[in-house]
Amino acid sequence: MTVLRATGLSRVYGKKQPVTWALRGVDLSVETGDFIGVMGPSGSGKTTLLNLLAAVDTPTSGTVEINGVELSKLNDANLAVFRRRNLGFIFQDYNLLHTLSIKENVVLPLVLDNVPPATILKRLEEVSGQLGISAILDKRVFEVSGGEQQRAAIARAIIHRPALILADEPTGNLDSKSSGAVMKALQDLNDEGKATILLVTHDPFAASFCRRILFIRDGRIHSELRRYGDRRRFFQEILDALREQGGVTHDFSAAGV
Amino acid sequence: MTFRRLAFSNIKGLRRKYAAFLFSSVLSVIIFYLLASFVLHPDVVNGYVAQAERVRAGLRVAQYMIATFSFFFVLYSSSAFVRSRKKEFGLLSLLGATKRQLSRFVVIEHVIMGLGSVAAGLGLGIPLSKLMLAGMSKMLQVTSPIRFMVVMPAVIQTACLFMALFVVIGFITALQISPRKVIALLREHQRPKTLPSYSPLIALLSVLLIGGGYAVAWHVDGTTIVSAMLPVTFVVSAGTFLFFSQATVWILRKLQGKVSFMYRNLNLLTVGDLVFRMKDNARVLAAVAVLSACVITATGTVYTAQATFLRDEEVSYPHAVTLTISGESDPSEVLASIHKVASDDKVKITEEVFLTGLVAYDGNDGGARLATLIVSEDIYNQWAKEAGRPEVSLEGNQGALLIPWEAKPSEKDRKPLELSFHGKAVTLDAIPHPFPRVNWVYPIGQYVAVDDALFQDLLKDADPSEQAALISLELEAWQKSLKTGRRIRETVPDEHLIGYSSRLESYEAHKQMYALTAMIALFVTGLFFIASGSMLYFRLFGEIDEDREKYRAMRRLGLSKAEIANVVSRQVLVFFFAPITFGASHCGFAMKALSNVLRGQDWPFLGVFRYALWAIAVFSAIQVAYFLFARRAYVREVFEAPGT
Repeated sequence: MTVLRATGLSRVYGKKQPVTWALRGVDLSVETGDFIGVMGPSGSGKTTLLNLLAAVDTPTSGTVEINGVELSKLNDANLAVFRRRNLGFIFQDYNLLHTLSIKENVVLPLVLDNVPPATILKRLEEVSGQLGISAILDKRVFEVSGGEQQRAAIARAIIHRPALILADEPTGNLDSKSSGAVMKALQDLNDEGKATILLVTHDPFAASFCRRILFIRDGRIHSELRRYGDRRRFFQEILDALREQGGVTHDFSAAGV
Repeated sequence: MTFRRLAFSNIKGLRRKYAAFLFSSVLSVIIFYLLASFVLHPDVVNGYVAQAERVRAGLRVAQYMIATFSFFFVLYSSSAFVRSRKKEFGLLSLLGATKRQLSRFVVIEHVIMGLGSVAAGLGLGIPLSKLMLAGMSKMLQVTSPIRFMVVMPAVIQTACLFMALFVVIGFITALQISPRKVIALLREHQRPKTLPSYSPLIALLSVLLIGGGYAVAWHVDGTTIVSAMLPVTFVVSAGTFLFFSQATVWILRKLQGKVSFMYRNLNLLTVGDLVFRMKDNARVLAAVAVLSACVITATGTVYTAQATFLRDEEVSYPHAVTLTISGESDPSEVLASIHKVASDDKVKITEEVFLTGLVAYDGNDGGARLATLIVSEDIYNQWAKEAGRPEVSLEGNQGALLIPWEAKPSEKDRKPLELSFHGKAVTLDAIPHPFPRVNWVYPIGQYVAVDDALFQDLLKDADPSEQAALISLELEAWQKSLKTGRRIRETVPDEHLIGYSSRLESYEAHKQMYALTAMIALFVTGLFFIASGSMLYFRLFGEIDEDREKYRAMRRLGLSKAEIANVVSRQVLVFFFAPITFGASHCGFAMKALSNVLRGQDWPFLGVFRYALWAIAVFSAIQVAYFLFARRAYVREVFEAPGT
């Protein structure tokens, strides 16, 4: 089943000539159970693409459909509701609310949707078990490590069982050990069929957990790579592909592999 | 690029933040000028105003208060302003700006801001003073006590004071910036927040303090209030401070524990944020609560005092106008022309006393020449019949002592009354007789009716100057009949007017006197509410960068703009109305105490509280306006950043 279908996505910044083309006609579709990584150098349009898919930004041309609903047709209030029911977000800087405890952060999407408290608590137990954060639920955000914060953010992203999880550089602020744990958690969720994930990253190590990599460059999808087997070999393939594209990777987190 | 240019272009670049700072500074300048233009106004200085000395002393105190308040207000605004730009200063010093340069930068900035504030404040203040004079005299129904003019000394005083103030504050602010803490400055916004702590014991204590203060206020009376007032004010203030810093956190944390409440809609977000916001701003909120209690109470008291005083006019002056005229003028003619005046002015006379008779001086009343008006039985009865009053029937040397007395006369009230008229001593067998209260009017101290034969006997020796008439009138809508009163007086030639007493004159004089007091009260309270509103406004905007970050994250999680605006509104609502709610409640108990003190004068609690309610209503209205303004600005600002 197709969860997401984007057709002819373009995004232009600036009004005066010469304008900046962040994206030039990207087509993309995500099926249930996919685990897709979008890679590309800085300024290639990765983040723009993610913002368009999340309807945080509006495309200059082209459409985004999620679960058969075209996002541009929704007004602000409907869009917000649609987003919190169908999408889960993971950010580089976690975006946990400091005024709330870890537990409160995790349950937020369900609370906003007026789910009965009993159901909320049941789901909370479930996801916190999956992500190994049961012990830190009552702590404040700043009391736990970056890796734990990101796992809490993942719990928040999946607690309402969204059709699609969008992740923006989820390992960008983490050391290699925490990165591994976070990516492993995402991979497990995907393997168990509990999450369809699209993640944007420039970290080959994080990307190697995906099933499919899209390379984006100058606002276009440039090439694609699929994983058929071992993650370490896939990691090597990604490095090769990046080297082939002329961009030597400078990411030192690769050294940890 | 010189440093001065940098400071200048920086102001241009950070328009919005500067605008808020400038706005509050300009407000202080305007208010100070308005008050200074009162104090230094030639009409006030030269004493054309009733009670000018006392009023000026009061104004001067108010001026000092406002100067002090302005100092702290601008200082507060300035430090809030600088705090919101810590990151900028951090970056500048990281780029190599020395402490000296940064300090100079800040001082120059303040001088520029000072010049701008003073210019704008005076530019707005001068036309406003015209508007205010007109508005206030309309509202208080008096002719404006002073003319409109540009009061130069006030302009100079305001300009000098505020320039000095900005320079001093610029230096103080500059001292607070230390480039050594660059990293701290840069990370200012990322410092994690620890969950506010509270002590249930102190929270309980705060409730006990406030409750105890209230209980005392409820029970004080005229004698205990003097010793109770200060301690109660102190205890309730302390209780309020503790309440805002401890009990609010306690309540909110308890609320957070209630899953059924918290896991609903936006409560999780609203309450979660509010815990921090209340704790961070506890001192400011409590200060505003206590001060607004004081200000509302003071205003309520001024208006109660005014109302008491004006009501007392009717006690001191039972009739609107009372005059005694010499027999040289024909009393009936005078009365006829008075009736004409009244009907010309369409003023209705609701009660009229008209007696003619002889004036007998006692001549032995401690030097003061007090007199008795002797009226014949016939003349009295003629009036009494018309007025529907009990008539008298007298014989021989019987006399009716006419006093405001409702009881039926009895034999035991009878006593001898000695009079001397034209060298002839008369001893009357006098019995009290009910008579309307009339104003005391020189020189007549008592009224007595005598048997017609006796009266005729006295009359034959009297010359016209020993005869007199009493005319006393009560007018409908007397508060507005000052001019009619004056015209009534003019119906009698000055040389024939023996005595004149008018409630209208006294009322007008007191009203004028109170008009200024009321103006000052309105003024100081108006200033206070604008200032406290701005203070809250600044606190609200102090953390806007952080908040913007937070709301952007919320938006990505799937909150609509409307929902975020809702969360924000609820917090701003609590922020703006928690203090004034406390202020109103404190004021209620203070008013209860005041009504206890005034009980002897028959003031029910609600009667007193009515005036305070007026004050509360006006200030709530100001606060609502400020709230709507702040919320709008805040919500707009939150969504300002790109990507949302």
